[in-house]
Amino acid sequence: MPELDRLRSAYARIEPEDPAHLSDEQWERLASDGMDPPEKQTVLDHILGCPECSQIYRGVLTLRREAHSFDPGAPRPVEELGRPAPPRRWRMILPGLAAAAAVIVAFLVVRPQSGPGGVTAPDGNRITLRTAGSVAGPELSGPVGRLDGLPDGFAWKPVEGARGYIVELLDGDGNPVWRSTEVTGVRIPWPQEVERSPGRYYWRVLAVPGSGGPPVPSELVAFDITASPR
Amino acid sequence: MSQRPADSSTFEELVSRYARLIRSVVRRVAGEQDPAVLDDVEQQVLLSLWKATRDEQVIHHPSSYIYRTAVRETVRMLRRERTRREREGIVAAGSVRRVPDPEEIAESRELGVQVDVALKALSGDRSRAVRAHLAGFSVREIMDMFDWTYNRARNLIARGMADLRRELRAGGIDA
Repeated sequence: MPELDRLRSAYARIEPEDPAHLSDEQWERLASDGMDPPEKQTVLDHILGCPECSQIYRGVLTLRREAHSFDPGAPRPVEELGRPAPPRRWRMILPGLAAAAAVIVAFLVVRPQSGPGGVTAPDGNRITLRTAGSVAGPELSGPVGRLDGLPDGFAWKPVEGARGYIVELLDGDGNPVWRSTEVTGVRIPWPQEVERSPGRYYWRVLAVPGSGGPPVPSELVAFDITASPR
Repeated sequence: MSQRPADSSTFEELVSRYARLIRSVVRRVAGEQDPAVLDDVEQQVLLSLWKATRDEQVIHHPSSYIYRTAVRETVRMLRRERTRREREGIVAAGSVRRVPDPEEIAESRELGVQVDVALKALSGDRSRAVRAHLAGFSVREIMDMFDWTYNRARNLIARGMADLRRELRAGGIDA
């Protein structure tokens, strides 16, 4: 048996000092950079001594490494998070810094005066469900939750610096069913072409910055229609 | 309710991408090659992701929420695959199944005790690098795990392995 294989085989027979596996919640926080260093060290110590958790961690690392390529809401791969780079790499990261600056500008333009933060620089022309950073989109007033009657429209709070708003409606399966034109008010009637059938829906509002740049989305809100249209 | 923009990056698409990625992760990490099993994994993940997201009244950060849900599903699927493979006695594709004899097991276990003692004598980061290396993690994975640069990870593994061999030789083990 080759020497490394022999050592690995022997290593696999060492009993883990902490036999308790990670909980689902710990896996989520580990994969989302949500652990403080002492806790992370503790769980990594367990993972390195536990073949089952080592295999799972390998999968989680792979997921994390590849998810960001299609989902901006996923954590960035570790190598993009600011490891010290040789000076010549400055030229390579300048476009990234420029993009980050554009996001900050969009944030400053569309940022509401108060309220919870947390959206990203989205693709404003398509329905995208993304998140990132500390930028806040419009705060939605309604509809939200379980509705006793039929919704007559959508309402939200104004965002300072926004030129207009676009409303997006999705069905319970997440399929986009309607998108408004850009409107300047903060209320819009239910679209005539969409039947108010019982079921779950999701909606959100994109705030269009007055000075250009990508629209900033609100959080995605769900509501349930329980009554049937007459 | 049938108007769907043809060129939309949808919630559905995002969830589907995650389901395909998790299928790929299970294939690569657990070594599963059976398309039927992988199709089942993808469908299970798709269903679970949908259930998880549809039960939420307000999803504050939709895609990061889906990411966390995907992490949970990855963990669940890899546990499920491990259990299934152990139950059915399946070994990773490409590997040859050979049952070690009792003498081999005893020898390996004894070496494990010596390796454990030797690892405890190594400094913190070298010990971590060697343990990760012996656990089968690649250099890339070790970089991600500890947020090390490539050079740092390689150096710690190389020096740590040299230290380990020295410790083992000092204890009379030929390594």
